[in-house]
Amino acid sequence: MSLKNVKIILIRAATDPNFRSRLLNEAEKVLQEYELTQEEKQTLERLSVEQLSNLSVKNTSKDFYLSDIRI
Amino acid sequence: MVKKIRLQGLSFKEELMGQKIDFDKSIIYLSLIPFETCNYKCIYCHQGGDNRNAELIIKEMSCLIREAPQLGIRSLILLGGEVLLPSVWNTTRTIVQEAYDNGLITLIFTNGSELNYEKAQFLAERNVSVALKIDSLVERKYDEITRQPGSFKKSIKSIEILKNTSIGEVVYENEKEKLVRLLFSTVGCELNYNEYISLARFATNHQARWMMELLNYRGNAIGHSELIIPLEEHSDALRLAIYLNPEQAHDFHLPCRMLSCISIHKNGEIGICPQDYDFLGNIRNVGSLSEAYKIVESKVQSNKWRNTWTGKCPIKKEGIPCH
Repeated sequence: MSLKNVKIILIRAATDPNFRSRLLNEAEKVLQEYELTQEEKQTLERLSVEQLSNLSVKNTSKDFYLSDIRI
Repeated sequence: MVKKIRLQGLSFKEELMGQKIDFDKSIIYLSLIPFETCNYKCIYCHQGGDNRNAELIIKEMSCLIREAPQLGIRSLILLGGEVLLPSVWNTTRTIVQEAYDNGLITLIFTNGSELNYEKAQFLAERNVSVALKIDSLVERKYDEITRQPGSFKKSIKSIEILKNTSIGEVVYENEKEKLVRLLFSTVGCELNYNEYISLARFATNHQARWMMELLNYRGNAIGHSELIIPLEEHSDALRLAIYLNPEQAHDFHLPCRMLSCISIHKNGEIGICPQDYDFLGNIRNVGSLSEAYKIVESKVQSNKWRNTWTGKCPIKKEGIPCH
């Protein structure tokens, strides 16, 4: 279930600034730790600062959002 | 800057050049579903049969195609069944040639299994766009969905064949968008929703447009309740895939562009969206495409009808567009 792993990575990026920075700067190395498809790796390696800056946690719940998408 | 990918046949070069096409007021697409014969038995297939009776004949389809440009129709969408099967290829060839000769842009939907270089080259030279079924990137799962061993490998091979022709090339691009002739089409369901991100990336890697089709719960799909995915999960997975792959992002056209379509099914039934089976009449009874046009136009331009349907899909009533 690598969609789940993509979400885990995004949620970690939302809550851990150090991880987020590593994801932006050394994505290939960071993503080795996760079971992902080749295409998911390519997608996450191309994430921009702008895309990641849209990650947020809703105050009222434990739900995480990327832009307005629940992840 | 990331360029959004659009498909020639559903979109047009003139749109990218800034010309407005009035999809809201005109009928732009003619969709022909001349046969349902197929070599796959996809578990979600909304046709779900192999009934060869009473299929449209070439002469009937040629008449419709010749009439189409006079009505402002710009694109022919040719669906099956499987339109590249050896048993129907002569018909497909003739229809594609007729459309090309009459200035229509053709988009064909295929599973790619019977594609070879000669067929691809014939289509390429007639400005055809190709929509290829890609329901999974996992071989075992793909073959399970089609119920045809080896189908995944054939699809991958067909991509390579198409990319060796002009169908793999960009038709036109500006600073924001690219118009291409290759589309990968996925029927979203419980079996593949966790692959949406991969599928969107895969399409982008091949310079193809990725299109999601909603499961049409009829035909073979009936009895496969394991295919049904809660709409919210499907929607979240789809939106995430698009957000992470912005090349595949696009405005949802509301009302859906398929309301700018006349569909003629294999027994002559007249419909709107090719996936809608709420037929409005029969072309063999009304006699001409212009008469069918009037029927469809009066339906989709009816305020009462539009108020009920605008923004909603005739297949799924929850109001989520399928592409």
